[in-house]
Amino acid sequence: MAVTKRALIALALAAAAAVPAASAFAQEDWPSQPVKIIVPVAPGGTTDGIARLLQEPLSQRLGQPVVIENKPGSAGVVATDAVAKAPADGYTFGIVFTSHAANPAMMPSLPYDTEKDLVPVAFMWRSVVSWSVPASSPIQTFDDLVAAAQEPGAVIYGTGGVGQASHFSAELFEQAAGVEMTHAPYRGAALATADAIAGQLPLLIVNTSTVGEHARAGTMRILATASPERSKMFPDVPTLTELGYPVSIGEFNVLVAPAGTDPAILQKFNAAVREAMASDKVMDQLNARDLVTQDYDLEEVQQFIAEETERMGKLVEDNDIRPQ
Amino acid sequence: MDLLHNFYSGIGIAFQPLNLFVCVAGVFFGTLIGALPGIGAIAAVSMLLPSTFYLEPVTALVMLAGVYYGAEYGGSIASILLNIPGTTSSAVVCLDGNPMARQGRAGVALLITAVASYTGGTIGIVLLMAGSPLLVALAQSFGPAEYFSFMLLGLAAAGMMGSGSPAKGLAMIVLGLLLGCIGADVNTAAPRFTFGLTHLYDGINVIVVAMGLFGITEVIFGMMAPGRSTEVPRVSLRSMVPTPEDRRRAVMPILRGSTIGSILGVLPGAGATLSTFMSYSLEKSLARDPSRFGKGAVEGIAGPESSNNAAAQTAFIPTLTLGIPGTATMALMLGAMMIHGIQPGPAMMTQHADIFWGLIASFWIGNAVLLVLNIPLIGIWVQMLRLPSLYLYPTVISLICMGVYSINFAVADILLVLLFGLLGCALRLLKCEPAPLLIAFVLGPMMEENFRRAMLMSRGDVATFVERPLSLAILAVTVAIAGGMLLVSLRRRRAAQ
Repeated sequence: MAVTKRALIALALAAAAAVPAASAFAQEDWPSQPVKIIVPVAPGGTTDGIARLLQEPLSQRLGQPVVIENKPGSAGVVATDAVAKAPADGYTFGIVFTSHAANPAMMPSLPYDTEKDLVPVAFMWRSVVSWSVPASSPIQTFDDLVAAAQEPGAVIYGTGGVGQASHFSAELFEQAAGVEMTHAPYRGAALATADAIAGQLPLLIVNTSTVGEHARAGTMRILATASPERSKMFPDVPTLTELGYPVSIGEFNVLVAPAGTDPAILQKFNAAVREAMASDKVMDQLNARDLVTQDYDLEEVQQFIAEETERMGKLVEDNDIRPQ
Repeated sequence: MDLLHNFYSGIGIAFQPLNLFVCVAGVFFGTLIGALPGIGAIAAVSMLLPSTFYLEPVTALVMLAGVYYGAEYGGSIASILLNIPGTTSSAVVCLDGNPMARQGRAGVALLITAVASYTGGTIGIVLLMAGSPLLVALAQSFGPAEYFSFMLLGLAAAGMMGSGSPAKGLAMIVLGLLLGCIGADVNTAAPRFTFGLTHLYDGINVIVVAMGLFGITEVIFGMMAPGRSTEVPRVSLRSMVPTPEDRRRAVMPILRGSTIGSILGVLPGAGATLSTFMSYSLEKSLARDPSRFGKGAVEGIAGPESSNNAAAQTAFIPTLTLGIPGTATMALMLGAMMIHGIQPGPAMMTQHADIFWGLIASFWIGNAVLLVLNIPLIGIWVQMLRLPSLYLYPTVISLICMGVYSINFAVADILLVLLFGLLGCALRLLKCEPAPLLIAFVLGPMMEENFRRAMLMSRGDVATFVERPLSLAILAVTVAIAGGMLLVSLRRRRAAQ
């Protein structure tokens, strides 16, 4: 027994001595094995599509294959939980949505701590959320909509689901304009769009990429977008901010890593992602889907997530957007 | 004849050697993957999606479409031979397909299924070419109120499917509805009956329920009755040929099934699922002797299978012309198109005419390949039943576990499928049929969602369901079916007394 104990102590000491050396070695050598990105949705769709496009340019820059692992479920919580509980060795990253910033306030029983267990690494893209009505609607301009919304609950708006950026854009607008609308959440933006173009849903709030084709075909009319700048796809459509309502929000995809990952690795990964996002192939797809990327460095993306978390938390508190 | 000209140019694109080759390859791999228990069209398409990134857009889509049909057909193979359905649609094919296999008529069942698939697919394609605008208009007249009424009709039809006691059928429907309540509520995101488990937040996956109730149960009962699976007679090409009686019985159900499937397929979400068992219920109610159903009635596989494939075709209508995917598989196909730089939508037929018509032509070629490829293979598929149960059952169990694990990569799903297996055993001992449970499980959440949405939009006025003419008409049919069932069971009771 004594031998075993001594051996154990020796082993522990050796391990303790080895740890700093190993981590210093790790950052210089990183990446020495494939890097995994956990995608929080099933294959297909924008998030998965862009992540898979990023695979090739990113692995070229890292010199190691990039593996995509789809882990759908619970609006991203399942995937984010997997990242939070992964070893902080720089080989596991995950994509989070806008709901990541709202979850701490919205979901009291999150299996991880958004701020303590995870660290934002790189910004991928942000969508343009648009407000549109069917072509047959009597509402012609955004002012018409504001007038209709004066009667509490009279305007019914559909989104892809509770807790998405489109939903928050409506909540932010209601707060700014002092009006109250009725939310009809759908299981995904596509089904909401189907009802809207059929004239069954009076107001549709989804990404421009989803409604764009119908706007061009003349079956839907986009009244405004919720983005900070005008949409590149629809440069004639005013933003809500221009119209006097300080609502600036989009559905974003940001890469996060387990907390405690070596900052030097995070720096390297951030730089590689930014370069890969700027590659022609990725930019073409971003433009085709009216998605905007932000060239944020590590500090900027961390500040961005911190600010969004605070803003979303306040919005959820003020409007009591909680599962009842 | 603009239409024919377009189709002709589409055929030219689809018949390019590379496209033809990937179409055949796609159908073959799709069938192979789909025949594995628990792995359906979604898994097959998503597995092969990355491999198409390096192909030309048309070629890639042709291949994925081939995989999609192949997998749909492959699902029927597992259902008929082993009574293991991967989807609600295949669960319906199980009802009569598996009894046929047990009677040594597996070859006939598979051949009829292949022909029914092909016919359904062809009719669906003709409608896709000629009637897209009309079908889109129909789909667009469906609002939340109509969807709710329609799903209620679906539930009434599900009640007709069972061959046992109506009370037990009703109990199964209620159990299915209750199981469907598990998961986050769409309107508020509030978790319901999740017991604090993150895994249950999205509800239980339908594949898990189907595999447990049918697949695991089948294996457990199969092991308790050893030797049965090895009693399959050798299948010669001749024994696959349906008798004139079989052929006569299959023709009308195939035509009716194709019509139902083509129309319902355009409804996003519910269409394809509803069409199979609507077709089954219709055939059962039209039959002179409904008691043959559930015991190997040819009509019971011919109708649903053709409607399933017709719906698989017309489901492309909202996807291609509106850019709105009705099912998870369609969403994947849409994703594939976007990756290849094609934006499906109102402009697709004009801007990407070559792709649109090439795709439609290859749909038809895919269906034909499916038929040609599978007839010689039926003999091989049936050999599966000759495997001694010592090897067959463990293989099936591991395939089920792998298939179920591949949905979400969650171990919890494997535990759940075993739990549902035990539930399936209990139900079988109690002589309760699991098919209505499965259908109610799928319809329940959609029904609730549409009911609440309809109420939101009518501002809480229940009258909306009868004020909208289409919804009223659907409700009237529902009441007629429910009344008819009540009458039949009362008469039966009186006859028994």
